[in-house]
Amino acid sequence: MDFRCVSFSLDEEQFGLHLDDVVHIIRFEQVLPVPGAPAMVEGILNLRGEVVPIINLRTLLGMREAAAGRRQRVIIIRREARILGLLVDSVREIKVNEADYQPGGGRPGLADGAVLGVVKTDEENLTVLDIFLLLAERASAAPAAPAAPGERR
Amino acid sequence: MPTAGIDDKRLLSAFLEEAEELLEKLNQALLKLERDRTREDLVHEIFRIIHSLKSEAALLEFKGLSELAHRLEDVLEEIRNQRLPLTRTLMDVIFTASDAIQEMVRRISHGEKDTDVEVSSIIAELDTQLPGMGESPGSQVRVELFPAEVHFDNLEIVQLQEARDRGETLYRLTLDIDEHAAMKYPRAYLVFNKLEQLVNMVKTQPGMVEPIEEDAFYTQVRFYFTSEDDEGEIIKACDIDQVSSRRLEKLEYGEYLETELPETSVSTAEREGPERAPAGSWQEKSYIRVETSKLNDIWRSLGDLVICKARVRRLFESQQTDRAPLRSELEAVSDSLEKITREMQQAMVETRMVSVAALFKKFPRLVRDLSRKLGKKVALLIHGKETEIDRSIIEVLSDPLTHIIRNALDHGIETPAERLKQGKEEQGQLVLSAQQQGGRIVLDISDDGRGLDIEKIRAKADLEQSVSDEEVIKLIFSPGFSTKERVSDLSGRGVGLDVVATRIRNELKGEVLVTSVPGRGTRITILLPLTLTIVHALVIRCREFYFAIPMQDMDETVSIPLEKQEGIEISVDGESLPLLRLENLLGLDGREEPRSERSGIILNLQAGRCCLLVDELIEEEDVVIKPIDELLNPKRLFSGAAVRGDGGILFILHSARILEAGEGTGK
Repeated sequence: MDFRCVSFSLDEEQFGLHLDDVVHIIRFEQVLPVPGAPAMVEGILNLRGEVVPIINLRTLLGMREAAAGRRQRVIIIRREARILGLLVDSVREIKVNEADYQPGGGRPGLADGAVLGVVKTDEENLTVLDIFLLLAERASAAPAAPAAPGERR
Repeated sequence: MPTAGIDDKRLLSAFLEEAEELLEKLNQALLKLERDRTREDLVHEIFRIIHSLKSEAALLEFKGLSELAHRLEDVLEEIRNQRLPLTRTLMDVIFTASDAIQEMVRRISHGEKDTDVEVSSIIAELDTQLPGMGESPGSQVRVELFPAEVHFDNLEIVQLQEARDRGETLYRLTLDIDEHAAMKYPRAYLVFNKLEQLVNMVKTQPGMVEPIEEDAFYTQVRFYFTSEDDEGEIIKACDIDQVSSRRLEKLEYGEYLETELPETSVSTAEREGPERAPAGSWQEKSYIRVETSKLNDIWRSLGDLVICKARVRRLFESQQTDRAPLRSELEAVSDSLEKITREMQQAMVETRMVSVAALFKKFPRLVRDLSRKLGKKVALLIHGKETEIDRSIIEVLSDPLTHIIRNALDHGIETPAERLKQGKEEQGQLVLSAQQQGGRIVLDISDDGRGLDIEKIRAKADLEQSVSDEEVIKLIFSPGFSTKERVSDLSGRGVGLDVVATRIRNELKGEVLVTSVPGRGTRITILLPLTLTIVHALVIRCREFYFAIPMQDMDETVSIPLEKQEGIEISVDGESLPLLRLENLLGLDGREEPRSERSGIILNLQAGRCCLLVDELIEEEDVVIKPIDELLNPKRLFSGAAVRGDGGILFILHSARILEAGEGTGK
């Protein structure tokens, strides 16, 4: 596969998302909190009539909270029926056909499949993530117990 | 021509109604006949339809229509008596004629004259069919309807890569179909079908298989395919009449396989930034066929809406000139807005409705095949297949129903020998029925087999005798039942039904009930909402959050005085109901000032009743339900979200699950 990604940063770390998944990038504005949702869910957003969960990528990746910055952006990603927004520190650029791209690879704390590939050069170190897979794995690792009769505390 | 007399009007509308029905049957029969031209029964049916149309048209003195129908009837008569072979060309002529008939009926329904439809060439062609065969297409230069660039989705790209590796050539074939020919789609499909056998089809514009567009879209059709070079064969495949021109071009793979960047850059990180359609959206969209009359209704409402918009604008402008609008005018505008929205909503809901026949049609075959395999005799009875239900519900229902039916055949209905021993008919019965009851659709699947073995389930699940039979049965449907190890040796008795029930509850907001009598049979009832898109709901507040509760799930709202707000039960109208607190169920933080009275909502569901305490009742509202991501719904207490008039979002409570979750906390 050729390599096309949108890159963004969290702290000093560089990440990327495959361009095929990215629909839109918007400024982070106020979101509506969701009662009972996991901590990574920052809230929801009405994006042209679609209800989009906004995920705090720092929480998802187990990084520490940062102060909300002026350049905070939400990257809207979609795959099949699923649409999500990812809260990131700032969006950098679109990269195409990077010569140093290596498919596969990993990052501590992430399942192998969740990393599509890495770009390693002297200047930078960029990890391309598969958020959908990452979320799917998290969901199956810790199934949200459906509230069956009698199972609630 | 009929005048506007009241009887004539009635006669006319009866005619149109009848004609519409006949035309629909005609279309179906023609399409079937096209697939298999040897089917005499279809020729007979078409003959009868044309004959009826002719007679009715003659009665109302629609001369153009009756004349054309008459000529067509003559031709059909010859085919029927096997004096004329039904060739492909002839089939096309029949299509053309029936299109013209359709057009005539359409004109009549618009108060125009049927004789305005130019049919002399069609009649001439029909006439030439009688002794011999005629020749057709002429060529003319046509405009390209589709842009030269095409977007291939990922799957198509892979197809292209593979074809390139095989050394095939990439072609684009553009067909122009005479725009006056009706039944353009069947024509295009004919070519498509032939090509499919010759080449590797990659993409068609518009869609040929599932996403079928209105017939009118098919004046130009574009096929992208790969093939070894046999252009002669390809050209031959599109040799049908009414194709006014065709262009076959060789394309370079390179154009599509290399750097295929999105047309617009995403880098503009602005809300107003250019919107890029999701990859391959063109193909992934699904299309539906909608009765034109329904679309017309929407169209009419839209017209009203535009007028209404103008009225609002005028009001606004009059305010600027300091002439305050009359209150009554505002009220009138508001009223008509409400009426228009309601009408449009209704019409939109109707366009989404399809009959369950589409869903049921595969089951006779399933039952037949399965009962043979199992060595059982089963009669399948289907009732109420005309019942209409939301398209999206149909899609999700297919798998669960299949599962239930399999289950009934596998484990419910006994072998013929066993049945005879039990004193039953040798042949078992499976009844599948659908009906609308109030705001719901009720699906019933019942068999006259051996019923659920309640004792066995009770024993395997380690339940005590005090647990009632209903509770035991309910257990089969509770999530995770079939995956529990200790019941896995129940050899499929009810196994998998929990999965079925979960899907129906979660995806369709429906309910599943089961009743079973040992030795007599099992009946599974599925209750479904009519539509998943709009629900009339009560908006409520609990702490700082707003929620909607479907009105159909509730009986009434009551005021609960302070002293009755504690405890796990509450007596309402002499009945003791479980008392649930929404903030506890959802884990909402924040304290609400204790108030002398709180609002209670009496939920009434198949599984029981309860009283749900909330902080404030806001208003009733029709809300449009949007699906929500599973991430937002870990407790599964929401059935979706609704976007309100002001763009705000609220969650819609899943009443059945609220009740279920409450049962756990209370007792």
